[in-house]
Formats: sequence, C-alpha cells, structure tokens
Amino acid sequence: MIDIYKLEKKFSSDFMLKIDGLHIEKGERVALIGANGSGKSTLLKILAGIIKPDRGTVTVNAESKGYQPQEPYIFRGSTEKNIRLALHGSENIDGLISDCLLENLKDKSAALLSGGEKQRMCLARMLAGRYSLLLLDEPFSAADVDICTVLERLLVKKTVENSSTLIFSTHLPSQALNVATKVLIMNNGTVAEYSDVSALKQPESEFGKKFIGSWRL
Amino acid sequence: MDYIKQAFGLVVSGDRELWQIIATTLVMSFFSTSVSALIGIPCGIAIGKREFKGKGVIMRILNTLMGLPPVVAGLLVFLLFRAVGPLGSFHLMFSVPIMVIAQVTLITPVICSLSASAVGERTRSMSETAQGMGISRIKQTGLMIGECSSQLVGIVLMGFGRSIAEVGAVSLVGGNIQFKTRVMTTAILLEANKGNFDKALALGIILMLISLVVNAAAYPVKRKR
Repeated sequence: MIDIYKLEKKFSSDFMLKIDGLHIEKGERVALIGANGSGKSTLLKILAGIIKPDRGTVTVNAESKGYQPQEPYIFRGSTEKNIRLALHGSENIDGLISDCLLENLKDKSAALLSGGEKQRMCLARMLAGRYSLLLLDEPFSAADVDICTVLERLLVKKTVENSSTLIFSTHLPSQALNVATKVLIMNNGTVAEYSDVSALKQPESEFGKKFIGSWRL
Repeated sequence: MDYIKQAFGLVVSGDRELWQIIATTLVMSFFSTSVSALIGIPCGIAIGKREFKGKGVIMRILNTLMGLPPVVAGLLVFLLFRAVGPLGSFHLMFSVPIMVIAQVTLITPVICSLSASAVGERTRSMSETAQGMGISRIKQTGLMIGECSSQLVGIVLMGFGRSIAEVGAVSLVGGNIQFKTRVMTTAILLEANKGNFDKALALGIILMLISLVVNAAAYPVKRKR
C-alpha cells in the first residue's frame, strides 16, 4: 500500500524528516506518535501529496485518499453541507450523521459549532468520502473523553467496513491502543520504531522505552 | 434639518436636471464598478491563490496604483483619448463612456489588490483541506469565491463608493456638461463654487442616500455565513 524509500524533507536548519525505508500494508491502522515537532504532520502531508519530498520516493497505491489537517477548514454553510462536500453524488448520509452524533446539528452553520463538534463534523466528512487511504492529523484532540471513545469505535468500524488503510497522529496512548493495529514512533524526524500496537506496552527502541515510559501506560 | 428638507424637496420637485444628474451618476458608477469587478476580481483571485515568482512585485505595483490620485488617472485617460491623442479616433472625450474608462483605471487596481489579499488569507488552510478531500481545482476555485463572497461584496461596494464619490477624474475627462456628463460630485462642486451651499449640501445628502440604499441592498449578501 505505502512504500517509502530514502525520504528526505528539510524544513529548517534544525529539522529534517528522514526515513530510510518504511512499508505499510493495506488495511493497517497506524498510529503516529512522537513529541511535538517530531515530523508526524510532515509525514502525513507528504503521504497526502500536499508537500513534496526533497529526496527519495514515496509510493502510495490507493484508489482514493483523504487527508485531514490538524486544523481543518470549515466551509461556509451548514454541517450537512460541509459533510456533503466529500461526496461525488447525493448519497444518503443520515446514518453517518447519526453515528457522529450530529443529528441535532446538521442544519446549524458549521462555523458556529464548538471545537469538539467541528471535529465530529470533520470526521464525518472524511468517512463520507469512503477513501481507501485515510490520513488524519490529530483527529480528536478537542473531543470530550466519552465522545472520543464513541468516535474511535466508529473510526475502526468504518475503516474495516470500507477496507481502508488508516494513518493518524495522536498524543493519546489510549487512542493508539483503541484504534491502531500498528504504531509508528517518531523522534526528531526519523522513525524510532514501527511495530504492532501491543509493543506500546513493551517498546523495543531506547527512544520508544523513554517516550512510552513518559505516558505511564 | 432645513438641508434635509431641501434635499427631499429637490427629489420630489421632479427637477429634470437633478434626475438626469442622478441617472448619469448611477449609470457611470454601475458600469465602472462592474467592469472593474469583472477585471479585478478574477485577476485578484489568480494572484492571491498561489505563490509564484514576481508576486511580490505585482502586489507592490497594485498597492501603489491603489493610491493613484484621481486627477492623475483622469489626466492619463485625457491624454490618451483627446482629439490628437493615440486613441483620439474613438471620439469619446466628454462622454459618459470616457468617465467610465477613467474610473475603471482608478478602481480596478483597488479591487484586484484587495481581492488578492482576501483570497490569500484563506487559501492555504482552505486548499489543504479541499485538496485533502480530493476536490478538483475548478471546484476549489468555486468554493474559494463562495468562501470569500462577503469580503468580495465588501470590496465591490468599496469600489462603488469610490466611483460614486470621485470628482477629479470625471470632471477632467467628462467636462461637467449640463444634461450630458454632469454627475452628483461635479454638480456639488459647481454649486459650491457658485456659492449655492444649500443646494450643494442637499445634493450631498442625496448622494449619501444613494450610497446608503446600495449598501443596504448588498448587506444581506455580505453578512451571510
């Protein structure tokens, strides 16, 4: 599904994303974790084709891909209208709106939604597109804990239903455990570890041990 | 209060000259704003939505042209279209079309520059999200116009405001000819020069009312979100 070979992307004199090799299988749900500025968002943008690498090759074999930035843009109009932007036709999205707990908000101006409501709407927008590759940059950072759990379950259910591959960044260990099948730990622009999500409890790399240790799982 | 009464009296008196002045003012302002918007908005969007080499130079030129004094714009158009000028064969001097041309010269850079700034502010976050959803470039441009419509309406209104209030360029190329090229601003100037301050002020009030009506008509579009 995704192959990265000798990828390099320089942003400033003190930061460079550098990945020698990485292979992600179709259908995986990968949690990108790492400190702020470790390169998670940059990697997602490169996979989405928003920015181009300076060197190396990135091969993405996906019929369609959906990318949601950390601060997604909220378009003018109602919540439902925003979700429908991801559609190519006039499919029924009532079920999805209900799954994302947006029934009472579907006619409300999207600009007037709260932070958490906007994130639910953005998730619905991404799921409505039925992309075969979903790239989400901190999708639930503003959602309440109980709603977060509902949305995590929904995300897993829909990615499995649509046979989608999911790559998302998060700062929450519980989210990585609840959603992901694999975890990719990033450190200062490089991949410190890429392993099964179970390894979150027993990371192999030194950085992984130190970083995960700080989470106190 | 007397001035307002006089302004109202002027309107209801059915004064032929006044109605001709109002009509000429509206026609000139409508066409100059429309033509400027048709040129300025697409150019502004094209400049604002992407980064390219020379964009800074273009923006600086546009920003400089925003401060172009109306009499200078009028003078340039006058020199081009006067009988012995390079475009003199069009015989447009002292007509409403030449006044529109002079105003288009003045207003287009303003609309273009402000549109570029309005679009540029939103472009990055909007295009990243739209691109991430796989929305086509053509649809993205349509969405961009929709997203910036309040600002664009505001910019067009500002262009209309500049057009309707402008006096230097239109008097230079239009000549302030009675029943032909006289507009509200040149009429106010004429009445003030004649010492008819009451009538000049009454005309000023009518001019303000026209601006108020146009702004009120555009307000629902501007506040829509």
